[in-house]
Amino acid sequence: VQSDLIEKELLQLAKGIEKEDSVAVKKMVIALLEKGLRPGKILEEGLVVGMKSVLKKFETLEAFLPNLILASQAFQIGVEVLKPSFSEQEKNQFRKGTVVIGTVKGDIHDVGKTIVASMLTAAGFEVYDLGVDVPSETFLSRALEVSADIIAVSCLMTTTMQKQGEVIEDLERLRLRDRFKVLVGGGPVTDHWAKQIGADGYGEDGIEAIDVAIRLVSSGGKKVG
Amino acid sequence: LVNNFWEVSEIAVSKGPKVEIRDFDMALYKKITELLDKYGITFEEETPIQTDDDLSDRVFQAGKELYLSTGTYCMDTKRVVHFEQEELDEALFYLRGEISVGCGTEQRLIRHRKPDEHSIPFIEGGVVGGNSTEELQVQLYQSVAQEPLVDAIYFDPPALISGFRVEHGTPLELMAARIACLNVRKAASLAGRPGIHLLAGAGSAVADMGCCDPESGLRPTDAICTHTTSELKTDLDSLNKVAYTLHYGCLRQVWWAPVIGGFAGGPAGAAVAAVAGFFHSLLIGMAKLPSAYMGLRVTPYFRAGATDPMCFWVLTTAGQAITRNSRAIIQGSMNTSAGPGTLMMFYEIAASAVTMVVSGMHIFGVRIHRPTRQNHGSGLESRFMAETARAAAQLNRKEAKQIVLQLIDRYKENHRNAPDGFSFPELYDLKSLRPKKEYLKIYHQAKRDLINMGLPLTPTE
Repeated sequence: VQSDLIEKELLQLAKGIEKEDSVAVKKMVIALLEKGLRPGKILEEGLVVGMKSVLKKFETLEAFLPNLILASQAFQIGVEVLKPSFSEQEKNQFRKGTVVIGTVKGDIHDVGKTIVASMLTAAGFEVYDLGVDVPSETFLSRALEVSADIIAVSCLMTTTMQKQGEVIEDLERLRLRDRFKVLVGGGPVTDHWAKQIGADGYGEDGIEAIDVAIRLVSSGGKKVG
Repeated sequence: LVNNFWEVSEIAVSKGPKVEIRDFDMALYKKITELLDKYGITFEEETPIQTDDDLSDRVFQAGKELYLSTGTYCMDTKRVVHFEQEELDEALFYLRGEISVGCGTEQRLIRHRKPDEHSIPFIEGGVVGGNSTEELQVQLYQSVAQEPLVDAIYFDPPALISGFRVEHGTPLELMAARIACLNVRKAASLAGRPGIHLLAGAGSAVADMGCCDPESGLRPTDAICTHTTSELKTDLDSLNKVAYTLHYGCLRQVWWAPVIGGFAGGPAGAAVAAVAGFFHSLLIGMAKLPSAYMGLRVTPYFRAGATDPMCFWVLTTAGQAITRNSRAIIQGSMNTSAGPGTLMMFYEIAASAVTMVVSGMHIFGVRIHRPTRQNHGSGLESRFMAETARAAAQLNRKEAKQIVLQLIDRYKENHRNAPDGFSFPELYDLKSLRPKKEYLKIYHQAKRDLINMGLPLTPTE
């Protein structure tokens, strides 16, 4: 009976994420911890299940970008409550990595980048969204500040693509290239372009960006191609 | 009340209330959700062409109410420009319903169209975002300009100029824009149409402004593109373009592109945001003045062209909302999944042209969703676009819907995995500037298919 009850509460937690209800999510996570449930189980069988459902709905247009953002925020709040209770093993198991993301200098396109940022959050990454029109030095300084694993650089115009290369150039110039993986994406960006500028990964859309990001942090990252 | 552009600019720059961008986005989504409920607006999956006038009118009211609530966000300053009901009504009143473009024998009068109207639409052709190169730009655009049914030409600069890679807002972009102007004017002259209306999408305001030059660039009878960022956002670069055209005295195409699945929500929300974007264009892009025409493009959340039933529903619902309730001159922007040299691209062009024309819109295109080659297009797509648009003008929405459903059936399986197609040198003989036999064969096949589907095209074989 106790087990059934817990399963029900985890399901409710997942629903809380789907309903984008940060307050309820926080309360439920605290309650489940107080009942002695393992943080990893709360994360995997409650928060992650809810986020996966939202992502699926986003792909089928039953949920939209604002829903994705709000659900990600609720998810993040739940994770913050769980964090102090994680065992060392759980910390290593569930830590996907830290991503600094933004649209390059001169480019003000926001939607695609925000979709990817929300999806990465939903996938368990700690994401710092720098917004649009971001200079190369801001990508670098923020990445250093938060000890990022990945710098994700978006652009939507052929005339701003060069700025993705500039981020890599600056990393090399400042001898920081080995410290970060660089993931690129955006309308005109191709796998060929990613290879040309020496990026570590390229994501055609949000789903692919998540796969590539996971691969980059788990394998230590390989250059495109 | 905001009476003129300089007052609008002041509010955007320093006087409007400051808001964080995501708060603006979320408030917009919340308002749209309320309005969809209030006006009973829902997406109809099986309706690529809207025929419910009452729904279109409700979408218009919802879009107007949305814009009154949100206003426009200036991304550089984080300030919002709000307008009052009276200003929106005044802007609608100002619309004259006609605009003169081009000069000499190529002067055209574009008139406002209504849904189901049989007047011939204005055709703005080109190879939109097709990676033209400096070496082939004259021939590429000559292939467009030589098409008699094309009324105007859109062009954008090459990505490389004299071997240098062009970057946004730099001297290289300015130079690329000016050289592109020279090339396209040469192309128009070689086609015997020096006065044809040109629309430049040079990039930044500096590049667009640099194009304005009566001798060798854009004349007052030509236009530059003034962009809107989705949803309902402007920036100083865009405002600078408006300011410059008002002083230089050339024309503007003010365009916007609601994103399905983005901050507007689903297709129903995107249709409402599209109407709000129309008011943004009137009041921020100054399309209420007789120096501008407007362009509406729908962007799906997935990476493909805007030729599926959902994108068509948004385009026709919002387009008809606008053309039924105003005297706006508005173009539908064509965006195909497949590339040139394929039967699929012709089907997508025809489906787009038909939906737009019967909804009261004029035509802008052709853009392929994902150009993968240099010079990824040719004049034949513009010819086909013009022919199908003219034929569609003889139809009403109900007749058009039957044709469009048949067309969608032919390409829906490949919509998100469409063929890339071919480049200009692969499609055309560069000496004679005529389409190669293989390409003409596909073109004639597409026309035959369309005639069989009921589109009153004139056979040209």
